[in-house]
Amino acid sequence: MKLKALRIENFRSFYGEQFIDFSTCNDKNTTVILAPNGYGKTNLLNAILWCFHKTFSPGFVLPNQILNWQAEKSGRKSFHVEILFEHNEREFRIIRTGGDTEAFKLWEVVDGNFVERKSGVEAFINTIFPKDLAGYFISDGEGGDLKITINDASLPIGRSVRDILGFKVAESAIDSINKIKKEITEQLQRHNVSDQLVELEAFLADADEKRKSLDKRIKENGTVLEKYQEDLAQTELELAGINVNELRELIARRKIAEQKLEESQRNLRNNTSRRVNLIRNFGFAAFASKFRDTALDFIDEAEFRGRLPAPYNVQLIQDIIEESKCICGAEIHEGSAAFENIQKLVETASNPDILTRVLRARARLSAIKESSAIALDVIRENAENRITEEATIESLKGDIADITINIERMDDRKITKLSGDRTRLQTAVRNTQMDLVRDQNRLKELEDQVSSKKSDRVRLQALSPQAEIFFTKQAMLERAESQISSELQRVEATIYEDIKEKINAFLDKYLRQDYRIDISPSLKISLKTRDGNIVPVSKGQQAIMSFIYISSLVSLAKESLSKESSILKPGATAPLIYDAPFSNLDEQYAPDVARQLPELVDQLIVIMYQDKGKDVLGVLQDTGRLGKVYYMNAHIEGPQGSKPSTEVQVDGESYQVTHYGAPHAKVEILKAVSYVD
Amino acid sequence: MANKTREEIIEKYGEALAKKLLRYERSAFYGDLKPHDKFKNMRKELDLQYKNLEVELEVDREA
Repeated sequence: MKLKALRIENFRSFYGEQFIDFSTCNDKNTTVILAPNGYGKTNLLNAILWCFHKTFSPGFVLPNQILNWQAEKSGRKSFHVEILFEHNEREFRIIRTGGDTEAFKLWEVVDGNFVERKSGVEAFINTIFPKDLAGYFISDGEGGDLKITINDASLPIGRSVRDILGFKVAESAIDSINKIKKEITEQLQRHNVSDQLVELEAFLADADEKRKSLDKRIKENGTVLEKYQEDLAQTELELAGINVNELRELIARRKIAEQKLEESQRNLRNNTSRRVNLIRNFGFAAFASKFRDTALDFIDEAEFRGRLPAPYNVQLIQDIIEESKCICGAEIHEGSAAFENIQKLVETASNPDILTRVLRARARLSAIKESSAIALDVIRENAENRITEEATIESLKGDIADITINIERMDDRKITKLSGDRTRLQTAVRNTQMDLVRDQNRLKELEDQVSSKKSDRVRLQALSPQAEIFFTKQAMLERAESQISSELQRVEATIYEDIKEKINAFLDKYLRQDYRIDISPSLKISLKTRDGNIVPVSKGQQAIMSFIYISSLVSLAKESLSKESSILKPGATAPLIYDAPFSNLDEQYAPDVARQLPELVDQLIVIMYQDKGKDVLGVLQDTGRLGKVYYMNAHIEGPQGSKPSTEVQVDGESYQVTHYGAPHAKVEILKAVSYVD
Repeated sequence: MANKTREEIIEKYGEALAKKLLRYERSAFYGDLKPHDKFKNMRKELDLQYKNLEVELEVDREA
């Protein structure tokens, strides 16, 4: 979206009608409006914001008194702002009226004619330039929405990225999908499908909720852990930086002891895991020891002795009796002497099945015997190692505590405070790590259960055609949900690197110091030296980073709009309209930022005070990006007296911006120069 | 039919569904669609994609 023109009528300091034609050229994309303090820079910015969304910037004072007082005196009761803009190669005109009568109208310009849109006007504007995002584009550079806090974990960079790149829609779509999934589960329960299936579905729905909550907690804890670790590293760094030799030595000793402690703790964990394996491998042998001795004796001594192997096989004899014929061909009938003899043989014949089973039992019992012999040594060794490691850990903990006490006794308040912080942070890191591991294990367990239940579901659903429809729909919705989630994750994973690259490219070029910015996974922006140490940020540096950050984000949104592959669509791309963006920047940084901003966005509108020490206008002109320059001229009723005249300089020309002895007090907006057309 | 083929077909229509649902969500987010109509359209879209899926499954079975 690009702004083409603006008309303001009786809005705050602007009496009567005032016009601005913005530069919409792709190369000369910048329009500057010059105004001394108190003329109405913020009024102009808010007129644009109000026209689009009937809202004002956070710092805008007396938002209920908009009608120009001169206009009010002359009997006017309403004020108007009209904007002409283009969007996706279509042209639109909006007029908002406030005061006694309120109205908002929109026309599309078709073949030079205005075609009014009669309904859904506010909603339509919201699709082009969402109200939620307006604060990022139209901004008060002296504070307000644009302020991005550096070196502070609570800064809203995550939110701004999500807003501008359109994550809100995707997240809201995931919520909608879950609502439809829930509806389908309810429908399923109303249909006559097996209780088991309904139960399974309820379990899976519940598991899905649990999974999401675990995922969320793991992510949050990951962020918290990162913050603790960063703070801990910083505390360590500060402690090590204190210039006392004895302290340095103590800190070095403690660090070595802590490394050893960590190693011992790792050994102990490995020992525990080996112990679990030993129980798995040898537990049965230990517990079966008594049984093994008795059972082996029993098999050796019992009735099988002398009969294994027996001379005849029981199955063979039974076959002969059934066939009534001997293997020699002789007939054998029931009641005959041969039949009786054969029957006797059956009593002493062996059963091969029993024989096999007994032999396997003997082999297994012998294996238990062998295992028992090894088990004792291995288990004993494991237990001894465990005792040794536990003793080492206790001793190291004692050493570390002693060293810490010695450090704190050095009677330096800063040392004591840093040591205290360090201990607290270490505990916090440990506890968070434990929480993370616990949650990760729970998640793994839950995923295993879900996977097993899903297999059951596939089996059961085949038995119920009606249920199959529901489950297929559920599976489609799950796929849609995971498609959106993975796209969100993919973009989120790369976006911060892209922003970092853009900001660092700017810092490389323009910042005096050799600093880089870093965005941590916890979305904390830091300004760092090449060695990775965080540096305190000045007000000016903060302002630079804010401008470059937002304009980089807008630039990325613009790039992602052209990517066909992405299913996410950026929230909006609109002109950047800045009020006094250079006021916090010094003589060097102001021109640097001025040089960079037009490069990053499609259209730039800057409302600013001309500070003679910062030749922002000259720089913009040199870059060839300056399209048009306007200035505000104040008509003052009283005489000039000894007050000095105020003027602005544009391209070698001087323009008076105060006219004393005027019939009416008012501020008018006049064109100074245009480099387009 | 092999389960994998079925899974693949579900994946294909699930992804098509994701794009359509996002479109409705976007319209609702920007105020072009009321929440009630958004859900109505989303349910219809699910039925439509399911029908497409069934047709493909049937073609697969016959093949």
